Parts: sequence; structure tokens; C-alpha cells
Amino acid sequence: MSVAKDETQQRLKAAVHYTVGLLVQKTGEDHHIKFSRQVVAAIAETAFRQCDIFAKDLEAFARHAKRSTVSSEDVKLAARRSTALSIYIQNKSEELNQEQRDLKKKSTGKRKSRDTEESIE
Amino acid sequence: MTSEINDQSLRRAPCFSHSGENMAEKDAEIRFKKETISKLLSSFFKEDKTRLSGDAVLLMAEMLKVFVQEAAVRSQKQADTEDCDQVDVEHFEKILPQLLLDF
Repeated sequence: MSVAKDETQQRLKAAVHYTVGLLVQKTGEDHHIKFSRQVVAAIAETAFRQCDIFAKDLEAFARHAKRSTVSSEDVKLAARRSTALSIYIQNKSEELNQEQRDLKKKSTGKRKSRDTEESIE
Repeated sequence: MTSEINDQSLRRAPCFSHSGENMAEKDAEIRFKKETISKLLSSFFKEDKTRLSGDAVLLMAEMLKVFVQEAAVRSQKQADTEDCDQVDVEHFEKILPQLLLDF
């Protein structure tokens, strides 16, 4: 692996470690228990490697569907092993779609009202 | 150990759609940055031409968050059953096999 690639990998690992730290600390506060620094590092490392597995899966799913872009459908397929997770991800996906539909409606609605205002003037 | 994802960690996750607007709120939701996940996944792809849709990145960020929360909650439960006042690597090691099977 080249030096530059190695460095970006290290930076990404650090970014994951940071967010994992925050998430774990939050869980600790909720349950009134302390997590050792080694646990945080271990969870971060596991999450990082799990990402490798996820990425390869997603790529394979997209290719199987004869696409070169990974879509939300591929992510839903990656979450199929656990029913609860699968349902959770599907709901999130629907939420995202709904949000985008609302945004579109808002922007077209604004344009329409502006159009009518101009015509009144 | 439970084979299903714990309900608690999923229920605890607040609604996605509101958090973007309430950044000033004290209890802002912790989540992975979109760019981080995008770069991370792209770096693991075998082929350079594989791209990621915006929705896919957001969903993956959510999935990774659930993974980490599950790891934390299960480790904490393990430490709890062993009457320890701190969660240590040994607790995480015990829940790791089942965690990996569930994802």
C-alpha cells in the first residue's frame, strides 16, 4: 500500500475512533458505567473492519444489479441478517425519501407562489 | 446472549429528520459524518469506478452507528452481569462473536 493511501486510512480510522468514543461515552452516561479506553479502541477497530466487509458486500450487490453506483437498496440488502435492523434501516430509508419529497414540494410550492405574485403585480 | 438486535438501542435513536434543524440543542445526536463514511467505503471498494449514492451513505452512517451502540450496550450488559464497575476489553471480547454474527 502506498504511503499516501496508508495515511488517509489512518486519518479515517482516527475519525471513526472519535465518533465511536462519543457514542460509547453517551451509552456509558445513560447506564452510569465507565468504559475503559481500550474498549473504545477495540470497538473502533471492529467498526472499521466491519466497514471493510460492508463495503465489499455493497459493491458486490451493486454489481449483481448491473449498477456501478451503490444505492439505498443495496444497503437494505446488507442489513438483511437481523430482522430488527432490517426494519429499522427500511424505516430510515423511507424517512429520507419522505424528506426529499417534502423538500421538492416546498421548492416547487415556493416557485408557484412567486409566479402568482409576479402575475398579480 | 440475545441474537436479535436489542430493541433499546434502536428505540433510543432519536428521529433523524429533526436533528439537522436543531443543531443548537444540547442533546444533538451523535453520528458519523457523511464524508467520513463516503471516503471510508470508497477506500474499501475493489474497483475505482464504484460510486455511492447520497442515500446509501446516510443509511450506512446509521447502520454503523447502530453497530457501535450495540457493541457498547452489549458490553455494558456483560460487565453488569459480572458485577464490574467498569467495562473492559474482556467484556467486549465475550459479546464480539454474537455481534459479528448479527451484522
